[in-house]
Amino acid sequence: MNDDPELDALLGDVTQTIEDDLEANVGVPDLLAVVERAHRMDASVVPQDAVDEVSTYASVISLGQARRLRQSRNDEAFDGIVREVRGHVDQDIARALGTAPRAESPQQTEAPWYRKWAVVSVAAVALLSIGVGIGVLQSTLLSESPADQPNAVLHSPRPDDEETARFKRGDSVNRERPAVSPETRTSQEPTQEPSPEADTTPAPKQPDQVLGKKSRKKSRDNRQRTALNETHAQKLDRLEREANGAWKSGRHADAASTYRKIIKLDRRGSWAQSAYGELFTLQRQRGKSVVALWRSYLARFPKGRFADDASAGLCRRASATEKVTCWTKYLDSIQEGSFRQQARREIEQHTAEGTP
Amino acid sequence: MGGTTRPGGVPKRAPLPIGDEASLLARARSGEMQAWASLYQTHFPRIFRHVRYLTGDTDLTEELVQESFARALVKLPSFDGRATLSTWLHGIALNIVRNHWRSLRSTETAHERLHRMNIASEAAQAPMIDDTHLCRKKAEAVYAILETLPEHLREAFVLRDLEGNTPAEAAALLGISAGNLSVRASRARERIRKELERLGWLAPRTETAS
Repeated sequence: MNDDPELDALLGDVTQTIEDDLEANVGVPDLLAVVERAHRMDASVVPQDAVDEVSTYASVISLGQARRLRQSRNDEAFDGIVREVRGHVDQDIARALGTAPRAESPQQTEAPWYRKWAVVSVAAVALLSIGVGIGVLQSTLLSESPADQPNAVLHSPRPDDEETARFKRGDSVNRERPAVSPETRTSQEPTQEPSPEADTTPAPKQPDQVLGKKSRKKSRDNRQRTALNETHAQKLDRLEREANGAWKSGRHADAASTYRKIIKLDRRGSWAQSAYGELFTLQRQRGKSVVALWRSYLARFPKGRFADDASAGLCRRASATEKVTCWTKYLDSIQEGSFRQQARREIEQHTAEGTP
Repeated sequence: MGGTTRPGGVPKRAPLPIGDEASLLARARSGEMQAWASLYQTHFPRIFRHVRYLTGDTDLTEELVQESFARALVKLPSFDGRATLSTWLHGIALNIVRNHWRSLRSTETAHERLHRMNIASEAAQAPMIDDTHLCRKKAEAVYAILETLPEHLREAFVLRDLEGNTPAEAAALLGISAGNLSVRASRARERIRKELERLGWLAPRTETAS
């Protein structure tokens, strides 16, 4: 009776389709929506206190956890894409600096000494030419105390610059910051992060011209230039470790302040996004509102990795009169958003209630 | 990490050790939301998967799963622990899916869908349709046929033939004997096959048999 290979084959296709769908969308656990709904069903069993409590839980996954999850996954395809993007970025940078692309593998990095020197020297020349600009900018940023001006950067986003820079650097792929050691990261940062001002760099010198200098001095200069390049990334890494450490040891205000410093310093965005993610969680843990933080995040990263959560969070906290507009905007701007079901339900509910 | 991945790539959390789950349950029943959050996270993927198979629709699944867990939270004080939490949650989800089916019950709608499937099956003959699209059309056809079946046959078929549960597992979830489950699933297969033949998705079995 059940021996029906044709039917089984067709059902196999059906099952595969569902499995593909499940793989693409495993569903988004939304505890707050569940508890709110339960509260509406029976407030005597699920009181408002429970809703309030759950609303303090982080809806945004901690990046520390996210990194651990990514580390546990063996995603060769993704790694391949990242490598490709890195390759393209390196080529672009090399073109801009008039050098050969940076080698990726450890074996390839064992290039002849003169080539390494040529690359570094030309980069150094380029850096010198933009050094004044960067120096002024960095010293300005570093001199600002986040404690004094907690929202200074948050209120002065430069979304256009940021988006343009991210696009140039292929940062859309790097949004999921790969879990690499600080050493690896710092060695990548300089080549991955040419300043926009690099476009104004004079034509790079030919390796022949550079090779004429004394090798010992060159080597020292080389190290100095590299150190100059690495400082920014190393600083960000150190700050992140400090912030995490402060958080772990219960110094929440220090941690928040340091995350804000990272947001201020990181013009690229990947560190800043991480810091935002941690701040969302930390602020909730501290019982502080994250609304302003969500707004500042969205202003800077309208398509960022937390845009979905931040947008939905703002809509949830919108006043009754603003909810419909907010959720409608959410549906329009984040078409594949995780909270689209809730958005539709809220719009339906508030429209039925006659709320504008 | 303890998590496993099923063939479809859907992450499946390892079930909590019974002791852990029992203590979480006790804490959740006393109103501790952190405990409920933990149970919710553990059971969400499997309930989502279960409901997805039953409904064939991802958006609808999200909605029904949310309702299932909300209802479970409200009913938590009355959970007596005779069944496992997982079985209890599956039962709640199944009831919510059934209610949804009943709210949609309209032979007209089901026949309209089947009519559309008829057109789709003709379109499926066209050579330019790629495999993925074709598989999707098959899935739509099967789910449209399922809509016309009585609930008890539909559930048995989905749990056994699509979701891939063993007869014992499917029977436990439906609260019937394994024998009864097999009879229902078999009847469902017969009816589904006939419809698929009528719609042109399968060649009549007589040809295969001869």
